[in-house]
Formats: sequence, structure tokens, C-alpha cells
Amino acid sequence: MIWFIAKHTVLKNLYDARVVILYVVAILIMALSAVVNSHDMERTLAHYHRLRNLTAREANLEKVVVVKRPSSLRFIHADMDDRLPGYLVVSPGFVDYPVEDVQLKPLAQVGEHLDWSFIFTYLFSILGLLLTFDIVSGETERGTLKLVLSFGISRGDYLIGSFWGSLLTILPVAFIGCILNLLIMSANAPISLRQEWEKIGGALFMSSLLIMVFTAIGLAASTFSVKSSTSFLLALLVWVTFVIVIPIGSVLLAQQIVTIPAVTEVEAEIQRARRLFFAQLYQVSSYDLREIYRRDDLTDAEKRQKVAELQEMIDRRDLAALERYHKRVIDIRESYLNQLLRQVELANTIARISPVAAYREAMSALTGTGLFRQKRFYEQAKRYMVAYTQYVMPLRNQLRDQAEIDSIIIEDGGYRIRDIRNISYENVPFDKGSLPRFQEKEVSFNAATKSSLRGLGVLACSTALTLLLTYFTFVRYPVT
Amino acid sequence: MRSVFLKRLRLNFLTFRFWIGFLLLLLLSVPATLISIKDYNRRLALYTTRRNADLADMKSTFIYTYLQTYLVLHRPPEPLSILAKGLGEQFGSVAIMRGKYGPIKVTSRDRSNFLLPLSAVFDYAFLVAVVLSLMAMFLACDTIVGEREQGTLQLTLANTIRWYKVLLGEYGGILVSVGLPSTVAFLMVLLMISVKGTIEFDSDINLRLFLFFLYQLVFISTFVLLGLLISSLVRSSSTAFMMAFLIWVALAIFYPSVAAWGCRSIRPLNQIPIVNAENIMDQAHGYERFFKPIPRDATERQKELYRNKNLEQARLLNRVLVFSPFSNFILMAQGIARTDLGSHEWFLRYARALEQSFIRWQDAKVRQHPLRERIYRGAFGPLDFSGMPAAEYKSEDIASLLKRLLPAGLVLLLWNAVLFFMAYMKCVQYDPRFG
Repeated sequence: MIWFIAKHTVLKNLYDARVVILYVVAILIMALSAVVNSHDMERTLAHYHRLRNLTAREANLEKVVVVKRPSSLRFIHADMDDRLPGYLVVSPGFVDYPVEDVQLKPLAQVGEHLDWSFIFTYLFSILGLLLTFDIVSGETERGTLKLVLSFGISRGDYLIGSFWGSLLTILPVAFIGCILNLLIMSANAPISLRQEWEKIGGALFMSSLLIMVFTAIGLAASTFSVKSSTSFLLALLVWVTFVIVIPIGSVLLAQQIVTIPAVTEVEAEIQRARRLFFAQLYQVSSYDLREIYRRDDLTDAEKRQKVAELQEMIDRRDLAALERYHKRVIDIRESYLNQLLRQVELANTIARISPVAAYREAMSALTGTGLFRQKRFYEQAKRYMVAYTQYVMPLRNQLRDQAEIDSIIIEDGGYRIRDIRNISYENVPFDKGSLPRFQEKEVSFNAATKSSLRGLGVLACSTALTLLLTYFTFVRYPVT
Repeated sequence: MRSVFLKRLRLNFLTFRFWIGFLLLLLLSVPATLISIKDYNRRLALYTTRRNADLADMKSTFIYTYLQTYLVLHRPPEPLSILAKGLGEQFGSVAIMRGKYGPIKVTSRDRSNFLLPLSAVFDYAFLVAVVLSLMAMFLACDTIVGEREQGTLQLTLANTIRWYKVLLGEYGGILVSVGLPSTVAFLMVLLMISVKGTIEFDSDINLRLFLFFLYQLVFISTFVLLGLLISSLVRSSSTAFMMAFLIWVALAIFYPSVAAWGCRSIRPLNQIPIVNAENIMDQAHGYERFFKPIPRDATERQKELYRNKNLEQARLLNRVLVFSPFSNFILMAQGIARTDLGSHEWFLRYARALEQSFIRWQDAKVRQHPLRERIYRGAFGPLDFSGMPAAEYKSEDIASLLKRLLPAGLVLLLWNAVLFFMAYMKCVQYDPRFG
């Protein structure tokens, strides 16, 4: 009986010109997305190689910039990769995001990337709703529901049959769109998709689950009212809540709960550390020199020896103060970055009540984009930082004479003494070919699947719970 | 016409759609506005503190050499950013000018979390755009087709009433029924601002608030007319609902994304490889830079090229976006609030003009006291900085603002005229004798 209802639903959908037009539109948009993304991929890869060359040329003993390789599956889910920093600055003992230059931020940040997840979130989810929102209420309005149920079809069978029937109409269209998209991508884009087929399959599976969720929601809405217009509005309300309100609301809520200090506040904290650093410096003055060269009991050689000893003591004290200052600055920055991450993680946790957010999170893991990738990239940069530090530190000791020392110099009585403010190895020449290379590791399919399990769970549970709710509502539904 | 108007008004008040829209608008605008007010007050406090600190710093530097003199121009947070946050301060609210000794550096007092997955700002303008456009469309899209389905359209037309009167009556009825919740929400928002906010309601703000409200009505009218057109085109209410929703998704979600992709393709930014390798340590030691001039070298020129391309791309996108009524309203709301791209460009132009007068002042002073350009001796005494341009920011005047926003406003009015004409033309083709 379930099969009979499913067949009836499929045929009803296929005979509906409106639905067929929507299918054609969906497939065309998938094709357009492939064209858009193949151009985008070409440009993004070219940009990545240009940046790598540039950063390799500019690498020095002070810091090196490591560039994030664009994911070859960004046409499936680019997430927020266009907005996230594409590189990190590695220096001995610290990995940092580049200090934001507000004038280099792209101003045209409207809209989203035209990828699979965008099309599934905003088009196929709506299609799922549109196919099911009037299954029960529409049949009630037309008076056909009682005829159908008079055939001895159980309400459960009717619901399951309609659900599968709707899925059988929409999923093939989604698959055709995806295959067309993949064909265009593999023909035009400078990437090889053969090694990625497992992840592509996973992404397709997740997308199918999203369609199932919204098909179930549409079905639920149709059992909540006897009027199809009310069912439609209910379904629409749920869609707007899941797709627009919860993702934005979760960010707003997280911003209220975890507050981030303003950039100027962080700068002020660094300034305070700086003042402390100056207070800890030796604060050399000509008085120190005078105390030595005016002594009559010392010979010239002894005076020079005394000045050298003084210089050594000042250097030791200055360098220790400088190290403490650097450590403090790193602590300030790390605590700021951790707060940023805490806020994002809270926003993501809240957003997970929406199946759309769970779907996007799972897609990020599968395609290696977004925050999931960013965190891994940061971890890998940290590992690279260890190799870089091990390479740079002995070299720095060897080449200290060539370093640019920013200092205050005091001269008196023919003697000279300095007070170090900073040492920079930025312009010290060295063999750049021997610098350890940063190799970003691919996320394995197993790791990606493991990380997407939570999203999978949310989507599967949402479908199951919605279908259960639909069943309980439908068994009490008035059929008169 | 009056009876059609009153009938539609009464019918709308009885619908689930109307009350759910009304409730949503009220429920969402309260937290959105409260958060915006809190955010504005925080930014205002930050502006005051930072500006005072910078003024004190500037004065302490002035006693040494002319090489170290600099001007810091602070753009205050816009009071109406509570309604439409727009670009906010993310792209720069402070311009540090070193005049002849270095390029202008634009920075911001406050930045959002760059790791947050946020593409839309949840402010009152966005809320109005989403809720009222959906409400207007769904109240309008089954008017004519609904009456046709119920058979009441034939009865109405049998009363020898003209089509334009039916359309105007229906249009007026829906416009008032959506305008009413929008007015209530707007008044509520104003009340919250006057109680919780720190805004002075002067003539400039009052005028811009009035314009915001007026434009909100024009925006609602566009979606009402779009709904009426859909209603006149289709033959069943369910098709009308589906079509309305899909058109809304196309205008509000797909159009901005495709337009942004188009603009990024026409004016690509990633052709210019720029790496900002500055980390926190550079910032921590950056203070020393004020002791020596910063060269306007090849990297700086490359950055300038990038910045210009960035502005060009954003300008192009804005020009394309005004054609979608949804984006048009959001852009216009940001324009009225002076938080849009145009206002940001005004700030940049203002900073550049100030920089030029600062350079002229520096030249004059260095000519007057050549030794004091780089050398400091205690015997010189404090620097003479009489006649130095004041770092006071002046926002774009209302006349220039209106002139700039006029084309976008005309586009929305044109949408209204075209949609009404199309709906009318479709309706007059209807022959009541054949149902």
C-alpha cells in the first residue's frame, strides 16, 4: 500500500507543470553554479600560487607567512572561506592571524557563495516543502482524503507513502543536478575529483538528508491545518526560522553571552605592557658612564672593561625585559583569539538546533572548508612553527651581528653604551632554500566522516522526530 | 473603491497570516533594537574614550619635532546605525594622518569577530525587509485569484466597478494592513531609542527618521503590488503562494548572491596579490615607526591599487543591488542612517582633504622652523602648532545625501509604477463572464 501511495504522489508531482518548471530551474541553477565555480576555482588557485610565491620570497628569520590551500571541494560548500584569513603569520614561538587591515577587507561581502550547500539550503529545501505542504490539507480541501482513506489505507501508510513519493520525485532531480554540476566542474575546473569521490558521495548523502528533513517538515505542516494556505504559512515560518532566524540569532546570542573586547581595548592592554617593559629596561644615562670614566683609580683598559661589563649587564636585563614583554603580548593576543573562538563555538552550538546549521557544519567537515578547516590549518601551522623555530633560533644566534637593533645610545667621555628596545632579524640575509617548507595535510575521509557525524545525527533525528510528530497529529486529524 | 478597501482591510485583520506577521515583527524588533542600542552606546563610549586619548597623545607628541606630528580623525558612530548597522565600523572609523611623512592609515576602533559565520546583520532594517516583504506578498498574492476561486470577483465586477478601482481598493487595503504593524513597530523602536539610547533628536535625525519611515511604506507598497501582480497572473491560490515565495527567495537571497558573484568576476580583487604579514609583535613595536618617515613605496602603491579596486567592486555591486526591491530597501536604509558605502567613501574623502591641509600646514611650519623637522633640543621649547587643521569630522550634509540616494529611490518608485501597470493590464484582460 505504501508503494501505491508513493506512486500516486510521484505521478501527481510529475503531472504538475509548476513542479516540473521548478525542477528545470533547479537543474539549471546547478549547472550555472558549476560554471561560476569553475571560474572561481581557477582564479582562487591562481591567487593561492601567487600568494605562495610572494610569501616564499618574503620569508625571513623574524616570521614567515603560511598560506591556506583552497579546498578542491569549495564548489560543494565554500562556507565562509572567502571571509576567513587565507594565511597565518608564523614567528618563533607564536602563530598569529595577520593583524586585520580594514582597508584590505573586501567591501562587497553581500550574499553567499553559489555552491551546492547554498542551492540545497535555499532551493531544494523549499522544493521539499512545496511538494508536501498540501499533501494532507490539500486533499482535505478537495475532499479526496476521505476517499483515499476509505480504501482501507492506514494513516501511517498514507504518510510514509506520501513522504517516499515526494522524496522519489525530488531526489533524482537533485542527483541529476549534482551529476551535471560534477561533469561541468571536471571538464572546466583545474582540479581532479577522482580522489574526492568518497567525500562527494558523503556531501550528496548529507544534502539528501537535508531534503528529507524539509520534506518531513512540509508533511507535518500539512497535518496541522485543514487549509492548505495555513499549512503553507506554517511550513514557511519553520523554513524562515531554521534558515534565517536561528543562524543569525545564534550569532547575536553568542555575542551577548561571550563579549569580545574592542580592538582598541586590546591595543590599550598592549600599551600597558609596553609601559611596563620600558619601566623594566635599564634606563641608561650618561651618569652610568660618568661613574666609570671619572674614576681616577682605573686605567683606560680597565675603564673599557668596566663599560663592557656594564653593557653586558644592560643587555642581559634588556633582553630579559624584551622577552617578558613579547610573552605578555603573545598572552594578550592568545587570550583575545581564544575569546573569538569561544564566541564562534557557542554560536555554532546554539545554531545546531537548526538542521540547516547542522548540515552546514557537516558539509564543512566533508569538504574541508570553513571553521573546521581553519582550526586544522592553525594546528598545522603550530606544528610548522616548531620546525621553523628550531631552524631559525640557532641561525639567529649565528647572525646576531647583522640584526637590526633598535636602541637608545648614550655617548659620553669617549665611551658609548646602548639600551636595547628591540632586535629585528627581518632584513638579515640567509639561504631561503633551506627553510623548512610548510606542507598542509589533507583531511582524510575517515576524519571528515567522524567530524560530520554530529550533523548527520541532528539531520536524522530531526527527520525521525518530525515524522513521528506528523504521525501523531495525523491520527487525530479530522477526516469528515 | 472604498468598500473594496474596507473589505480587504477587515479580511486581512481576520487572517492568521496578518497576526503571525504582526507578532513576529513585534517580537523580533524588541531584542534586535535593544541589542543595537546597547551596541551603539558601547561604540559611543569607545569613541569618546579613544578620541580623548588620541587628542592627549597628539598633544604630547607635538612638543618634539614636526616629523612626529600626526592627526587622528575619528568618525563618531552614527546614531541611526541602531536602525541599519550597514558597514558599521568594520571598514574603518579612524584615519591616522602623518601628512608628508607617511601614507594615511585607516583603522577601526571596533571590529567584529572575523571567525563568525555572519553574512547578514540582524538589525531593524533587515527585520523589516524580511518580515514586512513576506507579509505584504502573502496578504496580496491570493486577493484576486482567491476571489476568482470563491466566485466573488464576478459579483464584485457585476457592480460595474472599474478594474483600477478594484485594484486600488485592494492595494490600499493591504498597504494599510501591513503599514499599521510597521508603524506600531517603528514607534515602539523610537520609544526604546528615546528611553534607552543616547541620541539627541535634532532636525537632521528627525528628518532622516521620517524618510526612513516613508521609504519603509514605499518598500511595503512594492511587495504588495508584486503580490497583486502574481495574484492576477495565476489561477489558483496555492500556485500564487508558491510563486510569491519563490520570487521572494529569488529577490532576497539568489539575486544578491549572483550579483556579488558577477561583480567579483567583472572587477576581481584576487588578481592583486597582497599579503599583510603584520602580526601582533609588529603592532606592539609599531610605535617606533613614528620616529622615521614611512616611504610611499611599491607595496604601498599596490595596496592603494587594491583599495581602489575594492571600492570600485563594492560600488558596482551597490549599483546592481538597487534593482532588487529587497536589497534596495536595505541599501537605502543604510544610506539614510549614513552607514552605507557612500558614507564610508565620504569619510575617506574627508580624511584625504584634511590630510592635504595638514601637509600644507606641515610644509609651512617646516619652512618656518627648518631645524625642528627632525631634531629635538630642550632649548627649542614647545612646538608651534598654531593654525593646525582641527581633526573634527563633519558628516555628509542632508542635501548631498538625498541627491546621492535619489536614483535608488526612483528605482523603487519605478518598480511600483511598473508593477501596478502590469497588474492592471493583466486584470483588464479578465472576462467575468467566463469565471
